[in-house]
Amino acid sequence: MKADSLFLEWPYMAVGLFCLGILFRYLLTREQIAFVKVKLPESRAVFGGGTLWRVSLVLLLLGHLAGLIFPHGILFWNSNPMRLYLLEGFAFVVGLVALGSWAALMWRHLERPTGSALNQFADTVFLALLFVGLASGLLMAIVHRWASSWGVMTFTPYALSLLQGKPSAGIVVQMPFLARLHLFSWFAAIALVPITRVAPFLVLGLHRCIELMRKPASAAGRTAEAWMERHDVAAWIWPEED
Amino acid sequence: MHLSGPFVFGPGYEQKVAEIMRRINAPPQRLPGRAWLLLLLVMFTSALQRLHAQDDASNPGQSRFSAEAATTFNKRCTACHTYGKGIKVGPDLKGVTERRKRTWLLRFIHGSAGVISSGDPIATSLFAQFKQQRMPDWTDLSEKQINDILDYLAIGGPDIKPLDERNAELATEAEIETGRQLFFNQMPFKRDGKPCATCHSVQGSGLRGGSLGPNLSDVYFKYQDEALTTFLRHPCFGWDTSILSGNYLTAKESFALKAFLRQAALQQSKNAASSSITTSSAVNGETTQPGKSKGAQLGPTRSNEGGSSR
Repeated sequence: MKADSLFLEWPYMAVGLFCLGILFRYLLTREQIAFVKVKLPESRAVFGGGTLWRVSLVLLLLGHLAGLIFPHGILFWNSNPMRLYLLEGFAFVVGLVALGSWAALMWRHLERPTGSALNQFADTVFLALLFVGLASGLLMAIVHRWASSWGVMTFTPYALSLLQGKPSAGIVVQMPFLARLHLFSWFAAIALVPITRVAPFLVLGLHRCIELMRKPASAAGRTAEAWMERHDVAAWIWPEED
Repeated sequence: MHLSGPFVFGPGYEQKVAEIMRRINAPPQRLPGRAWLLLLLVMFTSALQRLHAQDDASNPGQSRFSAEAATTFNKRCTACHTYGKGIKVGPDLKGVTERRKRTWLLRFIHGSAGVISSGDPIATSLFAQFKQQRMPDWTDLSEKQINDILDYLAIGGPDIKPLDERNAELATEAEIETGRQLFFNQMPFKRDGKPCATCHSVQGSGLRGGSLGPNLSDVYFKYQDEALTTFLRHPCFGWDTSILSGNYLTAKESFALKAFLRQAALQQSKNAASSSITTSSAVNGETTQPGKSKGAQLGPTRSNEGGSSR
């Protein structure tokens, strides 16, 4: 795979694999949702981790989203050195906490293996990709200073180009290896989600969304049916001949 | 259409006409207080806008330089006109803004055919002088665009150098300070240029500069004035393709940055020289003459510093 296609096609492939995988799993298990619910505690044991793990992951996600949505705001915030040090320091500490929590999670995963061999393998690869993502992010913060500033000037236009369906990898392919590894690992992790034990959470979420949509959709359907019966729509379409 | 209907010539028609005529013939009334206030506000806003427009060119003589006007001039005018090199197809445009009135030039550039056919004496004599070849009607150019081109010609046209092409040696302390503030994101770029310190640092900036890109302490000596000018006209990564090359930084910003980078390079050389004196003094003892060691050490030190660049 060429460097260009790694950042042009691979992100779409990863998201496509994620969506199709989750949809496929939902279609396979929609008749046995109770069985999926039974598997949740096991999934939580593998990936749930402690509060620190969850909070640090949410904070990291929100930080990346802020860079995507408010690039100018981030640049303005960073125009003051003290604010820049504060943001970078905070993000680094959160990254370290996430890495520490990941280590605990991985230790537990390897110490008490549960589930099938395929499940274990997929989970291990997924956790390894998470490690690559976290470690490359932290190393980037050390080796290439002020990623919060240059990230919004490089990754944000790239991410927006992906979202607009006109991918432009010109900037990303010029980035240092760590930056490219960071991006690649997260997309790879996203692609792998459907075969890990994170998937039951998402399948259940999808099921609940469909259930939520089904109620108003069927109510609307019933109303439309009643209205058509009342107004004899068939007669409008096929009027009786005199 | 019945003009004699009751709506046109109805009752009171004559009084209405008389009232209208009285209003038309009445002497102009004084503006009410609020209108004066509004007028003052408009004048103040327009003055502010002019100040803002001149902000990019504090240098006298360069005050109305527009890169776009220069480009339009090269694209549309140079096929038939020269600037100070004599007649080509049409007249030499050097001094044209002094020979002709601005309003006339505006009319003629917009539609020479109309001006000639109106019997304008200057236009008809030019038409006769240049073998009855008339200029194309540049109707697609706005009045502002034509004025910018005329301003460009008035300040020297192709003979002038853009502000950023001045040698950085000529920079004032204020320009170097502006460059420093632009570099460290303390002053925003006008056209959404990205602050240099995000990715780069210079010697002595501590942790303020980023380390994604190379240290720029020696970049002025490495590229020299001219190449650095050209380099600064383009975005580093080419991240925004909508930005035209040559239009990335304003000439003032580009020059200020160049001046700051020159200052940084000089500072680095000075530091390198003093450190090499200290080192050689320490190695050779107090007997070493600083003046000799300085010249011997400066070259290799500077070439080593070049290694920090990507």
